[in-house]
Amino acid sequence: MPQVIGLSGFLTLTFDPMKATIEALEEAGLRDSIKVMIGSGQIDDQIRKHTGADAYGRDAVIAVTFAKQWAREKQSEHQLGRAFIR
Amino acid sequence: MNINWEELSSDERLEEMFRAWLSPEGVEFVSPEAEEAYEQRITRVRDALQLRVPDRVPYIPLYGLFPAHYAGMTVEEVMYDYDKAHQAWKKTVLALDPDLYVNISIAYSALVFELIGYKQIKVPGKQLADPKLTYQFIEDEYMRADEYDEFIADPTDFMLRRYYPRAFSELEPLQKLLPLRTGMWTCWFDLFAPFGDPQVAEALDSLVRAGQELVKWYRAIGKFDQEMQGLGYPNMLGCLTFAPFDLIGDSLRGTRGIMLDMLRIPDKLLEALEKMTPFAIEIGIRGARAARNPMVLIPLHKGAAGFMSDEQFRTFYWPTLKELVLALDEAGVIPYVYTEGDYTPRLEYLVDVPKGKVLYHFETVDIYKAKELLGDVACISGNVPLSSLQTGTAQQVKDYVKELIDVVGKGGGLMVDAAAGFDDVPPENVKAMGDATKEYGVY
Repeated sequence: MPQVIGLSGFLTLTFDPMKATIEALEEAGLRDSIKVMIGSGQIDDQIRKHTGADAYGRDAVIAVTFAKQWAREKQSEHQLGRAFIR
Repeated sequence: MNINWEELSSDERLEEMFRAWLSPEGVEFVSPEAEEAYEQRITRVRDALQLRVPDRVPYIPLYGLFPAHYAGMTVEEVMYDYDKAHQAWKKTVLALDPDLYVNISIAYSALVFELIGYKQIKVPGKQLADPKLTYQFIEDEYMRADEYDEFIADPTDFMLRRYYPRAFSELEPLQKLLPLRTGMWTCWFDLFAPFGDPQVAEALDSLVRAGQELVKWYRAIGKFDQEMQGLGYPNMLGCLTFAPFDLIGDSLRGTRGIMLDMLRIPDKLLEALEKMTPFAIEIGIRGARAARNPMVLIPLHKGAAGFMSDEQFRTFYWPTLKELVLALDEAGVIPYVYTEGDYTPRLEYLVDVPKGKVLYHFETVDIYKAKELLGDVACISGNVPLSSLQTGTAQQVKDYVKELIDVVGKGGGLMVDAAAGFDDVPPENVKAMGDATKEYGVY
Protein backbone atom coordinates (compact mmCIF):
# COMPACT_ATOMS: atom_id res chain seq x y z
CA MET A 1 0.00 0.00 0.00
CA PRO A 2 1.59 3.31 -1.04
CA GLN A 3 1.78 6.11 1.48
CA VAL A 4 2.29 8.89 -1.01
CA ILE A 5 0.94 9.51 -4.51
CA GLY A 6 2.51 12.12 -6.79
CA LEU A 7 0.69 13.47 -9.85
CA SER A 8 2.55 15.53 -12.42
CA GLY A 9 0.82 17.53 -15.14
CA PHE A 10 2.13 20.11 -17.57
CA LEU A 11 -1.01 21.30 -19.33
CA THR A 12 -4.20 22.95 -18.10
CA LEU A 13 -5.93 19.77 -19.32
CA THR A 14 -4.44 17.87 -16.37
CA PHE A 15 -6.13 19.90 -13.60
CA ASP A 16 -9.51 18.15 -13.73
CA PRO A 17 -8.14 14.60 -14.12
CA MET A 18 -6.02 15.26 -10.99
CA LYS A 19 -9.18 16.33 -9.16
CA ALA A 20 -11.01 13.21 -10.39
CA THR A 21 -8.15 10.97 -9.22
CA ILE A 22 -8.27 12.39 -5.70
CA GLU A 23 -12.06 12.08 -5.62
CA ALA A 24 -11.70 8.44 -6.64
CA LEU A 25 -9.32 7.88 -3.72
CA GLU A 26 -11.96 9.39 -1.42
CA GLU A 27 -14.72 7.22 -2.83
CA ALA A 28 -12.56 4.14 -2.34
CA GLY A 29 -12.07 5.14 1.30
CA LEU A 30 -8.31 5.48 0.86
CA ARG A 31 -7.89 9.23 1.08
CA ASP A 32 -7.08 9.37 4.83
CA SER A 33 -4.23 6.89 4.58
CA ILE A 34 -2.58 8.38 1.47
CA LYS A 35 -0.92 11.75 1.01
CA VAL A 36 -1.24 13.30 -2.44
CA MET A 37 1.15 15.80 -3.98
CA ILE A 38 0.81 17.46 -7.36
CA GLY A 39 3.36 19.31 -9.39
CA SER A 40 4.64 21.10 -12.51
CA GLY A 41 5.20 24.65 -13.68
CA GLN A 42 1.48 25.42 -13.95
CA ILE A 43 0.52 24.25 -10.47
CA ASP A 44 0.00 26.73 -7.65
CA ASP A 45 -2.01 26.82 -4.43
CA GLN A 46 -5.20 27.60 -6.34
CA ILE A 47 -4.86 24.35 -8.27
CA ARG A 48 -3.93 22.47 -5.09
CA LYS A 49 -7.22 23.63 -3.56
CA HIS A 50 -9.10 22.89 -6.81
CA THR A 51 -7.88 19.30 -6.87
CA GLY A 52 -7.93 18.67 -3.10
CA ALA A 53 -4.25 17.64 -2.97
CA ASP A 54 -2.22 17.89 0.24
CA ALA A 55 0.69 19.79 -1.28
CA TYR A 56 2.10 21.09 -4.53
CA GLY A 57 5.59 21.76 -5.79
CA ARG A 58 7.49 22.78 -8.88
CA ASP A 59 10.20 20.14 -9.12
CA ALA A 60 11.30 16.66 -8.13
CA VAL A 61 13.49 17.88 -5.28
CA ILE A 62 10.56 19.39 -3.41
CA ALA A 63 8.65 16.12 -3.99
CA VAL A 64 11.39 14.23 -2.13
CA THR A 65 11.24 16.78 0.68
CA PHE A 66 7.47 16.32 1.05
CA ALA A 67 7.74 12.52 0.95
CA LYS A 68 10.42 12.47 3.66
CA GLN A 69 8.45 14.87 5.83
CA TRP A 70 5.28 12.77 5.52
CA ALA A 71 7.20 9.55 6.20
CA ARG A 72 8.64 11.13 9.36
CA GLU A 73 5.19 12.26 10.49
CA LYS A 74 3.83 8.76 9.93
CA GLN A 75 6.71 7.28 11.89
CA SER A 76 6.15 9.57 14.85
CA GLU A 77 2.41 8.69 14.72
CA HIS A 78 3.40 5.02 14.98
CA GLN A 79 5.74 5.71 17.86
CA LEU A 80 3.06 7.76 19.54
CA GLY A 81 0.66 4.83 19.04
CA ARG A 82 3.11 2.38 20.61
CA ALA A 83 3.69 4.70 23.53
CA PHE A 84 -0.05 4.68 24.23
CA ILE A 85 -0.22 0.89 24.08
CA ARG A 86 2.64 0.64 26.51
CA MET B 1 12.25 39.77 -50.20
CA ASN B 2 14.59 41.24 -52.76
CA ILE B 3 17.00 42.97 -50.40
CA ASN B 4 20.78 42.86 -50.18
CA TRP B 5 20.96 42.26 -46.43
CA GLU B 6 24.77 42.28 -46.39
CA GLU B 7 24.88 45.99 -47.23
CA LEU B 8 22.59 47.05 -44.39
CA SER B 9 23.32 47.83 -40.75
CA SER B 10 21.37 45.86 -38.15
CA ASP B 11 19.05 48.84 -37.54
CA GLU B 12 18.38 49.14 -41.27
CA ARG B 13 17.68 45.40 -41.42
CA LEU B 14 15.15 45.71 -38.60
CA GLU B 15 13.58 48.67 -40.39
CA GLU B 16 13.20 46.54 -43.54
CA MET B 17 11.62 43.73 -41.52
CA PHE B 18 9.08 46.12 -40.00
CA ARG B 19 8.38 47.55 -43.45
CA ALA B 20 7.73 44.02 -44.73
CA TRP B 21 5.51 43.19 -41.74
CA LEU B 22 3.52 46.38 -42.35
CA SER B 23 2.93 45.53 -46.02
CA PRO B 24 1.84 41.87 -46.14
CA GLU B 25 2.04 40.35 -49.60
CA GLY B 26 -1.17 39.51 -51.43
CA VAL B 27 -3.42 40.87 -48.68
CA GLU B 28 -6.50 42.87 -49.54
CA PHE B 29 -7.84 44.76 -46.56
CA VAL B 30 -11.61 44.52 -46.16
CA SER B 31 -11.87 48.23 -45.37
CA PRO B 32 -9.71 51.32 -44.84
CA GLU B 33 -10.42 50.90 -41.12
CA ALA B 34 -8.98 47.37 -41.19
CA GLU B 35 -5.83 48.65 -42.88
CA GLU B 36 -5.49 51.41 -40.31
CA ALA B 37 -6.05 48.95 -37.44
CA TYR B 38 -3.37 46.67 -38.91
CA GLU B 39 -0.80 49.45 -38.86
CA GLN B 40 -1.91 50.69 -35.46
CA ARG B 41 -1.47 47.23 -33.93
CA ILE B 42 2.05 46.79 -35.29
CA THR B 43 2.98 50.31 -34.15
CA ARG B 44 1.61 49.55 -30.68
CA VAL B 45 3.66 46.36 -30.46
CA ARG B 46 6.75 48.08 -31.85
CA ASP B 47 6.52 50.93 -29.32
CA ALA B 48 6.17 48.53 -26.39
CA LEU B 49 9.00 46.38 -27.68
CA GLN B 50 11.36 49.30 -28.16
CA LEU B 51 10.51 50.63 -24.69
CA ARG B 52 8.57 53.67 -25.81
CA VAL B 53 5.14 54.32 -24.31
CA PRO B 54 2.53 52.95 -26.75
CA ASP B 55 -1.09 54.16 -27.00
CA ARG B 56 -2.06 51.11 -24.94
CA VAL B 57 -0.56 47.88 -23.62
CA PRO B 58 -0.59 45.32 -26.47
CA TYR B 59 -2.59 42.12 -26.02
CA ILE B 60 -0.78 39.14 -27.54
CA PRO B 61 -2.38 35.87 -26.36
CA LEU B 62 -0.19 32.97 -27.50
CA TYR B 63 -2.91 30.38 -27.00
CA GLY B 64 -2.18 26.70 -27.35
CA LEU B 65 -5.01 24.56 -28.69
CA PHE B 66 -7.69 26.73 -27.09
CA PRO B 67 -9.24 27.49 -30.51
CA ALA B 68 -10.18 23.82 -31.05
CA HIS B 69 -11.92 23.60 -27.66
CA TYR B 70 -13.54 27.00 -28.12
CA ALA B 71 -15.01 25.94 -31.47
CA GLY B 72 -16.26 22.64 -30.03
CA MET B 73 -13.88 20.54 -32.11
CA THR B 74 -11.47 17.83 -31.07
CA VAL B 75 -7.74 18.37 -31.39
CA GLU B 76 -7.66 15.34 -33.68
CA GLU B 77 -10.08 17.12 -36.05
CA VAL B 78 -8.02 20.29 -36.37
CA MET B 79 -4.82 18.29 -36.84
CA TYR B 80 -6.29 16.44 -39.84
CA ASP B 81 -8.68 18.96 -41.36
CA TYR B 82 -7.09 22.30 -42.28
CA ASP B 83 -10.49 23.88 -43.06
CA LYS B 84 -11.76 23.02 -39.60
CA ALA B 85 -8.62 24.51 -38.09
CA HIS B 86 -9.27 27.62 -40.17
CA GLN B 87 -12.81 27.95 -38.79
CA ALA B 88 -11.76 27.37 -35.18
CA TRP B 89 -8.83 29.79 -35.27
CA LYS B 90 -10.84 32.45 -37.10
CA LYS B 91 -13.60 32.22 -34.50
CA THR B 92 -10.98 32.63 -31.78
CA VAL B 93 -9.22 35.63 -33.35
CA LEU B 94 -12.52 37.43 -33.91
CA ALA B 95 -13.66 36.77 -30.34
CA LEU B 96 -10.39 37.69 -28.62
CA ASP B 97 -9.63 40.68 -30.89
CA PRO B 98 -5.88 40.51 -30.11
CA ASP B 99 -3.14 42.86 -31.30
CA LEU B 100 -1.28 39.89 -32.84
CA TYR B 101 -2.82 36.54 -33.72
CA VAL B 102 -1.35 33.04 -33.74
CA ASN B 103 -2.19 31.06 -36.88
CA ILE B 104 -3.20 27.44 -37.42
CA SER B 105 0.36 26.16 -37.68
CA ILE B 106 0.33 25.41 -33.94
CA ALA B 107 -2.16 22.59 -34.71
CA TYR B 108 0.38 20.96 -37.06
CA SER B 109 -0.59 18.55 -39.82
CA ALA B 110 -1.12 15.02 -38.53
CA LEU B 111 -1.25 13.89 -42.19
CA VAL B 112 2.39 14.90 -42.68
CA PHE B 113 3.37 13.06 -39.48
CA GLU B 114 1.61 9.92 -40.76
CA LEU B 115 3.22 10.04 -44.19
CA ILE B 116 6.73 9.97 -42.72
CA GLY B 117 5.89 8.09 -39.53
CA TYR B 118 7.11 10.77 -37.12
CA LYS B 119 7.62 9.11 -33.75
CA GLN B 120 8.13 12.20 -31.58
CA ILE B 121 4.53 13.43 -31.60
CA LYS B 122 1.62 11.34 -30.32
CA VAL B 123 -1.58 12.42 -32.04
CA PRO B 124 -4.81 12.56 -29.98
CA GLY B 125 -7.43 10.07 -31.17
CA LYS B 126 -4.63 7.95 -32.63
CA GLN B 127 -1.65 7.20 -30.38
CA LEU B 128 -3.45 9.02 -27.54
CA ALA B 129 -6.88 7.58 -26.77
CA ASP B 130 -8.77 10.84 -26.15
CA PRO B 131 -9.16 12.97 -29.33
CA LYS B 132 -9.52 16.13 -27.22
CA LEU B 133 -6.10 15.88 -25.63
CA THR B 134 -3.18 18.03 -26.71
CA TYR B 135 -0.61 16.20 -28.85
CA GLN B 136 2.27 14.83 -26.83
CA PHE B 137 5.98 15.16 -27.55
CA ILE B 138 7.96 11.98 -26.95
CA GLU B 139 11.67 12.15 -26.25
CA ASP B 140 14.11 9.35 -26.85
CA GLU B 141 17.85 8.95 -27.34
CA TYR B 142 17.81 9.35 -31.11
CA MET B 143 21.52 10.08 -30.79
CA ARG B 144 23.47 7.87 -28.41
CA ALA B 145 25.99 9.32 -25.97
CA ASP B 146 28.85 7.71 -27.90
CA GLU B 147 27.77 9.33 -31.19
CA TYR B 148 28.69 12.95 -30.39
CA ASP B 149 31.87 12.77 -32.48
CA GLU B 150 29.98 11.53 -35.50
CA PHE B 151 27.41 14.31 -35.11
CA ILE B 152 30.05 17.01 -34.61
CA ALA B 153 32.10 15.85 -37.62
CA ASP B 154 29.15 16.00 -40.05
CA PRO B 155 25.77 17.03 -38.60
CA THR B 156 23.93 16.84 -41.94
CA ASP B 157 25.11 13.30 -42.52
CA PHE B 158 24.09 12.41 -38.99
CA MET B 159 20.61 13.82 -39.56
CA LEU B 160 20.18 11.94 -42.84
CA ARG B 161 21.53 8.53 -41.91
CA ARG B 162 21.00 8.33 -38.14
CA TYR B 163 18.33 10.75 -36.89
CA TYR B 164 15.79 10.46 -39.76
CA PRO B 165 15.83 6.62 -39.84
CA ARG B 166 15.34 6.51 -36.08
CA ALA B 167 12.78 9.29 -35.59
CA PHE B 168 10.61 8.62 -38.69
CA SER B 169 9.46 5.03 -39.21
CA GLU B 170 8.95 5.52 -42.98
CA LEU B 171 12.53 6.79 -43.34
CA GLU B 172 14.16 3.84 -41.62
CA PRO B 173 15.69 2.57 -44.91
CA LEU B 174 17.75 5.77 -45.18
CA GLN B 175 20.17 4.12 -42.75
CA LYS B 176 21.33 2.11 -45.78
CA LEU B 177 22.69 5.24 -47.46
CA LEU B 178 26.42 5.91 -47.51
CA PRO B 179 27.86 9.27 -46.38
CA LEU B 180 27.29 11.64 -49.30
CA ARG B 181 30.21 13.90 -48.39
CA THR B 182 32.56 12.05 -50.76
CA GLY B 183 30.30 11.76 -53.77
CA MET B 184 32.96 12.72 -56.28
CA TRP B 185 34.98 10.90 -58.96
CA THR B 186 35.88 8.00 -56.68
CA CYS B 187 35.02 4.34 -56.28
CA TRP B 188 32.74 4.22 -59.33
CA PHE B 189 30.10 6.37 -57.63
CA ASP B 190 29.38 3.64 -55.09
CA LEU B 191 27.55 6.23 -52.98
CA PHE B 192 24.63 6.22 -55.39
CA ALA B 193 24.11 2.45 -55.26
CA PRO B 194 21.85 2.45 -52.16
CA PHE B 195 19.38 4.61 -54.08
CA GLY B 196 18.72 1.51 -56.17
CA ASP B 197 17.48 -0.36 -53.09
CA PRO B 198 13.67 -0.80 -53.28
CA GLN B 199 13.23 0.09 -49.58
CA VAL B 200 15.28 3.26 -49.94
CA ALA B 201 13.18 4.17 -52.98
CA GLU B 202 10.04 3.66 -50.88
CA ALA B 203 11.41 5.93 -48.15
CA LEU B 204 12.15 8.61 -50.74
CA ASP B 205 8.62 8.21 -52.09
CA SER B 206 7.15 8.83 -48.66
CA LEU B 207 9.34 11.94 -48.37
CA VAL B 208 7.87 13.20 -51.64
CA ARG B 209 4.32 12.52 -50.45
CA ALA B 210 5.00 14.25 -47.12
CA GLY B 211 6.48 17.19 -49.01
CA GLN B 212 3.36 17.43 -51.19
CA GLU B 213 1.14 17.38 -48.12
CA LEU B 214 3.30 20.06 -46.49
CA VAL B 215 2.75 22.26 -49.55
CA LYS B 216 -1.02 21.84 -49.11
CA TRP B 217 -0.70 22.67 -45.43
CA TYR B 218 1.38 25.79 -46.13
CA ARG B 219 -1.30 26.91 -48.60
CA ALA B 220 -3.93 26.48 -45.87
CA ILE B 221 -1.81 28.56 -43.48
CA GLY B 222 -1.29 31.20 -46.18
CA LYS B 223 -5.03 31.36 -46.83
CA PHE B 224 -5.71 31.81 -43.12
CA ASP B 225 -3.06 34.51 -42.76
CA GLN B 226 -4.37 36.47 -45.73
CA GLU B 227 -7.88 36.46 -44.35
CA MET B 228 -6.85 37.53 -40.82
CA GLN B 229 -4.52 40.23 -42.10
CA GLY B 230 -7.23 41.48 -44.43
CA LEU B 231 -9.37 41.96 -41.34
CA GLY B 232 -6.64 44.07 -39.76
CA TYR B 233 -4.84 41.54 -37.54
CA PRO B 234 -1.05 41.15 -37.88
CA ASN B 235 0.49 37.67 -37.58
CA MET B 236 2.38 37.20 -34.32
CA LEU B 237 5.13 34.86 -35.47
CA GLY B 238 7.60 34.90 -38.33
CA CYS B 239 8.96 31.52 -37.27
CA LEU B 240 10.35 29.49 -34.39
CA THR B 241 13.87 28.59 -33.47
CA PHE B 242 15.30 26.99 -30.36
CA ALA B 243 18.11 27.36 -27.88
CA PRO B 244 20.93 25.07 -29.08
CA PHE B 245 20.73 23.16 -25.78
CA ASP B 246 17.05 22.39 -26.48
CA LEU B 247 17.70 21.38 -30.09
CA ILE B 248 20.07 18.70 -28.86
CA GLY B 249 18.07 17.92 -25.71
CA ASP B 250 14.58 17.71 -27.21
CA SER B 251 15.24 15.84 -30.42
CA LEU B 252 18.60 14.08 -30.20
CA ARG B 253 19.49 13.15 -26.63
CA GLY B 254 16.29 13.58 -24.58
CA THR B 255 16.17 15.29 -21.17
CA ARG B 256 17.63 12.33 -19.31
CA GLY B 257 20.41 11.93 -21.85
CA ILE B 258 21.49 15.56 -22.02
CA MET B 259 21.33 16.00 -18.23
CA LEU B 260 23.71 13.04 -17.84
CA ASP B 261 25.94 14.42 -20.61
CA MET B 262 26.46 17.65 -18.61
CA LEU B 263 28.03 15.49 -15.90
CA ARG B 264 29.71 12.71 -17.88
CA ILE B 265 30.85 14.22 -21.17
CA PRO B 266 30.65 18.01 -20.71
CA ASP B 267 33.30 18.78 -23.35
CA LYS B 268 31.53 16.80 -26.06
CA LEU B 269 28.25 18.50 -25.22
CA LEU B 270 29.84 21.96 -25.34
CA GLU B 271 31.38 21.16 -28.72
CA ALA B 272 28.03 19.96 -30.08
CA LEU B 273 26.30 23.09 -28.72
CA GLU B 274 28.77 25.29 -30.59
CA LYS B 275 28.22 23.24 -33.73
CA MET B 276 24.46 23.62 -33.37
CA THR B 277 24.40 27.39 -32.75
CA PRO B 278 24.84 28.58 -36.38
CA PHE B 279 21.98 26.24 -37.36
CA ALA B 280 19.68 27.73 -34.70
CA ILE B 281 20.57 31.21 -36.01
CA GLU B 282 20.01 30.16 -39.62
CA ILE B 283 16.55 28.71 -38.84
CA GLY B 284 15.45 31.99 -37.24
CA ILE B 285 16.75 34.40 -39.87
CA ARG B 286 15.64 32.34 -42.86
CA GLY B 287 12.16 31.79 -41.40
CA ALA B 288 11.57 35.42 -40.46
CA ARG B 289 12.70 36.72 -43.85
CA ALA B 290 10.58 34.14 -45.71
CA ALA B 291 7.54 35.08 -43.61
CA ARG B 292 8.24 38.84 -43.90
CA ASN B 293 7.75 39.04 -40.14
CA PRO B 294 10.49 39.98 -37.63
CA MET B 295 9.14 38.04 -34.64
CA VAL B 296 11.12 34.85 -33.97
CA LEU B 297 9.76 32.77 -31.11
CA ILE B 298 12.36 30.92 -29.02
CA PRO B 299 10.51 28.66 -26.57
CA LEU B 300 12.94 27.70 -23.78
CA HIS B 301 12.53 24.15 -22.51
CA LYS B 302 15.32 22.82 -20.35
CA GLY B 303 17.03 25.83 -18.78
CA ALA B 304 14.44 26.58 -16.09
CA ALA B 305 15.30 26.71 -12.40
CA GLY B 306 14.66 23.25 -10.99
CA PHE B 307 15.80 21.62 -14.24
CA MET B 308 19.45 22.56 -13.91
CA SER B 309 21.71 24.40 -11.49
CA ASP B 310 22.79 27.99 -11.88
CA GLU B 311 26.28 26.85 -12.78
CA GLN B 312 24.94 24.48 -15.43
CA PHE B 313 22.76 27.26 -16.87
CA ARG B 314 25.78 29.57 -16.99
CA THR B 315 27.97 26.90 -18.58
CA PHE B 316 25.72 24.94 -20.93
CA TYR B 317 22.49 26.82 -21.59
CA TRP B 318 23.00 30.56 -21.64
CA PRO B 319 26.18 31.14 -23.74
CA THR B 320 24.82 29.65 -26.98
CA LEU B 321 21.33 31.03 -26.33
CA LYS B 322 22.85 34.49 -25.91
CA GLU B 323 24.82 34.00 -29.12
CA LEU B 324 21.56 33.13 -30.88
CA VAL B 325 19.77 36.20 -29.46
CA LEU B 326 22.60 38.56 -30.45
CA ALA B 327 22.88 37.08 -33.95
CA LEU B 328 19.13 37.39 -34.56
CA ASP B 329 19.23 41.01 -33.41
CA GLU B 330 22.19 41.67 -35.68
CA ALA B 331 20.17 40.27 -38.60
CA GLY B 332 17.29 42.65 -37.85
CA VAL B 333 14.86 40.16 -36.40
CA ILE B 334 13.31 40.20 -32.92
CA PRO B 335 14.13 37.39 -30.50
CA TYR B 336 10.87 36.58 -28.69
CA VAL B 337 12.38 34.62 -25.81
CA TYR B 338 9.56 32.54 -24.38
CA THR B 339 10.73 31.24 -21.01
CA GLU B 340 8.92 28.23 -19.57
CA GLY B 341 9.18 27.29 -15.90
CA ASP B 342 10.70 29.43 -13.16
CA TYR B 343 13.10 32.08 -14.44
CA THR B 344 13.51 34.29 -11.38
CA PRO B 345 17.05 33.04 -10.68
CA ARG B 346 17.96 33.51 -14.37
CA LEU B 347 17.00 37.19 -14.59
CA GLU B 348 20.56 38.34 -13.90
CA TYR B 349 21.63 36.66 -17.16
CA LEU B 350 18.69 37.82 -19.24
CA VAL B 351 19.61 41.50 -18.68
CA ASP B 352 22.72 41.00 -20.79
CA VAL B 353 21.15 41.79 -24.20
CA PRO B 354 20.86 44.96 -26.34
CA LYS B 355 18.30 47.44 -25.14
CA GLY B 356 14.79 47.45 -26.65
CA LYS B 357 15.49 44.55 -29.01
CA VAL B 358 14.17 41.49 -27.20
CA LEU B 359 10.74 40.40 -25.98
CA TYR B 360 10.89 38.25 -22.82
CA HIS B 361 7.87 36.11 -22.01
CA PHE B 362 7.56 34.70 -18.49
CA GLU B 363 5.58 31.80 -17.19
CA THR B 364 6.60 31.76 -13.54
CA VAL B 365 8.74 34.59 -12.30
CA ASP B 366 8.88 37.22 -9.58
CA ILE B 367 7.34 39.73 -11.95
CA TYR B 368 8.27 42.74 -9.79
CA LYS B 369 11.90 41.68 -9.75
CA ALA B 370 11.68 41.06 -13.50
CA LYS B 371 10.45 44.64 -14.05
CA GLU B 372 13.12 45.99 -11.71
CA LEU B 373 15.97 44.22 -13.50
CA LEU B 374 14.69 44.16 -17.08
CA GLY B 375 12.61 47.35 -17.16
CA ASP B 376 15.31 49.36 -18.93
CA VAL B 377 16.42 46.47 -21.13
CA ALA B 378 13.51 44.58 -22.63
CA CYS B 379 9.75 44.38 -22.97
CA ILE B 380 8.07 41.76 -20.77
CA SER B 381 5.01 39.59 -21.47
CA GLY B 382 3.11 36.63 -19.99
CA ASN B 383 2.73 35.67 -16.34
CA VAL B 384 -1.11 35.71 -16.12
CA PRO B 385 -1.53 32.45 -14.13
CA LEU B 386 -3.14 29.54 -15.91
CA SER B 387 -4.59 28.49 -12.56
CA SER B 388 -6.74 31.65 -12.54
CA LEU B 389 -7.62 31.27 -16.20
CA GLN B 390 -8.62 27.64 -15.75
CA THR B 391 -10.27 27.55 -12.34
CA GLY B 392 -10.70 31.18 -11.27
CA THR B 393 -13.33 33.79 -12.05
CA ALA B 394 -13.27 36.42 -14.78
CA GLN B 395 -12.95 39.06 -12.05
CA GLN B 396 -9.87 37.33 -10.62
CA VAL B 397 -8.25 37.38 -14.07
CA LYS B 398 -9.15 41.05 -14.58
CA ASP B 399 -7.70 41.98 -11.18
CA TYR B 400 -4.44 40.22 -11.98
CA VAL B 401 -4.11 41.93 -15.37
CA LYS B 402 -4.88 45.31 -13.77
CA GLU B 403 -2.13 44.84 -11.21
CA LEU B 404 0.26 43.69 -13.94
CA ILE B 405 -0.47 46.84 -15.93
CA ASP B 406 -0.19 49.10 -12.87
CA VAL B 407 3.17 47.72 -11.80
CA VAL B 408 4.93 46.22 -14.82
CA GLY B 409 3.19 48.37 -17.43
CA LYS B 410 4.38 51.57 -15.82
CA GLY B 411 6.09 53.62 -18.52
CA GLY B 412 5.60 50.91 -21.19
CA GLY B 413 7.56 47.70 -21.73
CA LEU B 414 4.64 45.30 -21.19
CA MET B 415 2.48 43.09 -23.40
CA VAL B 416 -0.30 41.02 -21.86
CA ASP B 417 -0.43 37.26 -22.33
CA ALA B 418 -1.17 34.14 -20.30
CA ALA B 419 1.70 32.45 -18.45
CA ALA B 420 1.77 29.66 -21.06
CA GLY B 421 -0.23 28.10 -23.86
CA PHE B 422 -3.72 27.09 -22.74
CA ASP B 423 -6.29 24.59 -23.91
CA ASP B 424 -9.80 24.07 -22.55
CA VAL B 425 -9.99 27.19 -20.35
CA PRO B 426 -13.38 28.91 -19.90
CA PRO B 427 -13.71 31.44 -22.77
CA GLU B 428 -15.06 34.15 -20.43
CA ASN B 429 -11.77 34.08 -18.50
CA VAL B 430 -9.73 34.43 -21.69
CA LYS B 431 -11.99 37.27 -22.77
CA ALA B 432 -11.49 38.92 -19.36
CA MET B 433 -7.72 38.97 -19.98
CA GLY B 434 -8.19 40.96 -23.20
CA ASP B 435 -10.96 43.18 -21.83
CA ALA B 436 -8.83 44.15 -18.83
CA THR B 437 -5.89 44.99 -21.10
CA LYS B 438 -8.05 47.29 -23.20
CA GLU B 439 -9.78 48.82 -20.17
CA TYR B 440 -6.78 49.45 -17.93
CA GLY B 441 -3.94 49.44 -20.43
CA VAL B 442 -4.53 52.80 -22.11
CA TYR B 443 -1.66 55.21 -21.47
